[in-house]
Amino acid sequence: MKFTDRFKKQIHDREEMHKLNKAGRNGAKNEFNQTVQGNSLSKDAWRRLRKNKAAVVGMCVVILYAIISLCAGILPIYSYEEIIIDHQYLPPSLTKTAGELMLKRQLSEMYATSWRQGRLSVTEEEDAMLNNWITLDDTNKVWNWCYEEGEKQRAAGTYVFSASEQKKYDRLQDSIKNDIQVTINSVRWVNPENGKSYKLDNLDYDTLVSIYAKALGGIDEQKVRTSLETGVNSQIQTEVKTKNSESELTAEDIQSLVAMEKDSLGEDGVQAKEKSLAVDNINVLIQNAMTKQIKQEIKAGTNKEFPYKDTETLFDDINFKVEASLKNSRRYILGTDNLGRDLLSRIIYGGRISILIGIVGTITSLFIGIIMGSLAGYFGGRVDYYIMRFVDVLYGLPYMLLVIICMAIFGTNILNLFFALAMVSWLTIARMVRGQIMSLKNQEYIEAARSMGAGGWRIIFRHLVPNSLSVIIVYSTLRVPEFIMQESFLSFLGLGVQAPLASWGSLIGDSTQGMTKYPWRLVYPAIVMTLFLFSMNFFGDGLRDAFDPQSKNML
Amino acid sequence: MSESVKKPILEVKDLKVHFPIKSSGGLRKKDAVIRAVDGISFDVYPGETLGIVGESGCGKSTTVRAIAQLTKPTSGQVIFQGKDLCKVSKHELLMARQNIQMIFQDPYASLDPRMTVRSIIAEPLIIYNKRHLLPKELSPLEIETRVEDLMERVGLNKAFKNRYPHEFSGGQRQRIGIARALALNPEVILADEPVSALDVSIQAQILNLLRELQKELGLTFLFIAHDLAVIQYISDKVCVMYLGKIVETSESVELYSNPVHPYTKALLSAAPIPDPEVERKRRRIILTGDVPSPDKEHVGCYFYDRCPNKMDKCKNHIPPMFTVGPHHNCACWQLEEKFPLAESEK
Ligand SMILES: Nc1ncnc2c1ncn2[C@@H]1O[C@H](COP(=O)(O)OP(=O)(O)OP(=O)(O)O)[C@@H](O)[C@H]1O
Ligand SMILES: [Mg+2]
Repeated sequence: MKFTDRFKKQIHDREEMHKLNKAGRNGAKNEFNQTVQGNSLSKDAWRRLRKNKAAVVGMCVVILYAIISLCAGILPIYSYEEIIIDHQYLPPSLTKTAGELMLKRQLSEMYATSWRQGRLSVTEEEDAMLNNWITLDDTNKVWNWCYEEGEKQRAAGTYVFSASEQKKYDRLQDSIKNDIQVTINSVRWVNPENGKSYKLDNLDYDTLVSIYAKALGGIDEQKVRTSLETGVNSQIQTEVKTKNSESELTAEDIQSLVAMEKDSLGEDGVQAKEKSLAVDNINVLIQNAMTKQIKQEIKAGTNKEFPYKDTETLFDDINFKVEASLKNSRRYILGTDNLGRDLLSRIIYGGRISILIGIVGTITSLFIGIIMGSLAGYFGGRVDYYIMRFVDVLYGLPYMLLVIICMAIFGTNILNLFFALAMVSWLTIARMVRGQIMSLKNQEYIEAARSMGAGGWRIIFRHLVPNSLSVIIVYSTLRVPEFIMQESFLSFLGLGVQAPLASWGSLIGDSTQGMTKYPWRLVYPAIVMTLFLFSMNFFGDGLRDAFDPQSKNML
Repeated sequence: MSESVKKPILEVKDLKVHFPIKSSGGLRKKDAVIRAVDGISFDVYPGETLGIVGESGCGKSTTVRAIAQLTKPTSGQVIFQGKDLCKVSKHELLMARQNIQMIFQDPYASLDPRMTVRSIIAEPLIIYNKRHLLPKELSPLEIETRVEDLMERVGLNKAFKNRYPHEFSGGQRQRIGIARALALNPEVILADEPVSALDVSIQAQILNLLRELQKELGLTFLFIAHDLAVIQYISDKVCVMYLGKIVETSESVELYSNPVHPYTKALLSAAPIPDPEVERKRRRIILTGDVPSPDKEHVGCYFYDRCPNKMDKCKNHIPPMFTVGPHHNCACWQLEEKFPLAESEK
């Protein structure tokens, strides 16, 4: 009762304040009876930040990155995990489609082979030049030169395809024209009884089994059940095998391990696995069926406009969205990687993860670091001693080793990565904050606060931390890039994000194989990452100046 | 009101503040201490201003900080409203602090550079409000009004309340500090050299402000300065400190007309007099030697090393306070014959 009263009073007061603020009381009148509007610290900081060009540009870039990563799902880009083996290592191109690039590659290869076989007429000098390039391991140049020369000669009629070459060429042309990529989305099952639709994942086991049986052509449900069981069994078996790859296991051992694993999963766990297996299989079935269907339609001569989007129904009551596009008419403006995945979308999705790691890591390490550092700095004495010795001990352990051990023990997934990075990265912040606070705590205004009865927390979080803020902000904006780098390093070691997920670091790490042959795989992620790190630094510097009300670059 | 009825609002009894200093080098060296304040006693009466003078490093700030319990005194008592502040609980200390507020020496360092004037002045109110220690709970609106009133009271335009301290001059900042000290309606204000960082003309303004406030609000001041003119202007009574000890206490008028202790005499003779005639004629007492380091224990008079008329007795006997006149006491062996101690005080 008392509490609610007080609460009501507070709300009432707030409203009064608000009214008065609006009436301009808060921005009190000066001697000329003009209203002087007050600046809050943040407003003031914003005003100063705007004056700093580099910081504003940096901020804009950072915001742009943030928006792009947030909207990655709705941007018109290809999937970042869709593997198209035919599209391996396509170079970046703004104008050419994947098909044209593939054709060019095929032709270059053919011309280069025929040069070796002596069917492409070249002068002796040119021959020497090509051989020289080969000794320099510059295959790209050889291929380019051969392609241009071969095209020239073919156009002039001095070079004719051999029969096998002609066959290859025709086949490629055909597949460029007709190959389609079918993607299936939002698969839902409509209950024929009441017309409600369900996501496959949310269905119960029995319904799923009957759907699966129907999709397989109406086979016996019992068969489906056994096949799912064996499927899951073999899944668990491979898991067990990879887990214990060092120790040599007999078939019996494996059997018992599998049984143990199943026991630990419990009946529900096993059933969940069976369900997800069934869902995956149904999706594959649908995709295959649709691909077949569309191909037949093309053969039959129906004119379909690509890219083609539609909602379809298969197996009586499964609804889904189909997207079919001519696979080879795709354009990869930043090229593709070793599995034919679009580099642009991988960079965007990778940025999402990298930035997230940078920000979350910084925030957690700031949180821990500020609390530990200010406790040590403010209370001093024994508290300080123990906290700082703890920090020293952690410092003494090799940082990366600690992270790696962490990741190895708890498994490699993103959450553990955050956890592991944050656990050891607060040390420097704690030390820095401690130093700042030790130097500030003997200031007279802290004494003043104490003489007014302010408690430890108030002094730390109202006076000491805000006054160390400029250092903390700069440090933490520098910290974001550092986290991104560390994540890259871990990804490089295979302990960071796991494929098919990507991060800038893992993209760069993966690109080191074949760096000279496929330089775009390294260059674009590197440029994108560098730009971000740069902007972050400029922005951080700007923030530091902005948050310091005494900074001189006010006007 | 007769003098005997008047009760002191703040009593300081044999206050000692010793800072241990870690001796470096030397094995098993006894830890030395700095005797910043070495047994001082005085009373402050309500509505009065007690001034403390002394040269730099004699322990004036330390005294004030010990009274406010910002430094724990080594021994002695600080009695406020019948309670010894050195021994009370946290809660009682908070209650007492509400009535003992401080004004600081450096107007630049004593205001948090990241707070607006409003939040600086409102801070004590907010702290006490949160702990429900104010006589009446304040709403944010009332706090706001109080801040504005305080700003006007100390002569600041309330339009400036959203500004930061660095946007003000030294004098204005000191006014902010005064407003903050007044926020809780204290009875006693400990002012640690509130004007020594200011320009002379501004000093006068601030001093006048303090006097006005005293008259209006019935404040009691403990006022520290090393400038004798300032002390003469503002205080009713004066204590002269030397090396952590009080050497002479007196009413202000009496002290200036009739200094007794050789140190007081030297101090007064060193202060310039704004009359060229007098200034030319007067004789200065020049003290020789430096202020001795406060880290050794004294067996004799603290002033012995520099005293122009020292005697043998001074070397090994600490002088007690001799009563020279009403409210005029002085610690010097030369007074022993003229003003012998009462038997009970021996
Ligand atoms: N925290 C401390 N630790 C050790 N010694 C201290 C400490 N604080 C003060 N002192 C010493 O105590 C003595 C008195 O210092 P105090 O600040 O009280 O002087 P003061 O009279 O206020 O001087 P000023 O007029 O310059 O302000 C000095 O010798 C100083 O060195
Ligand atoms: Mg001082």
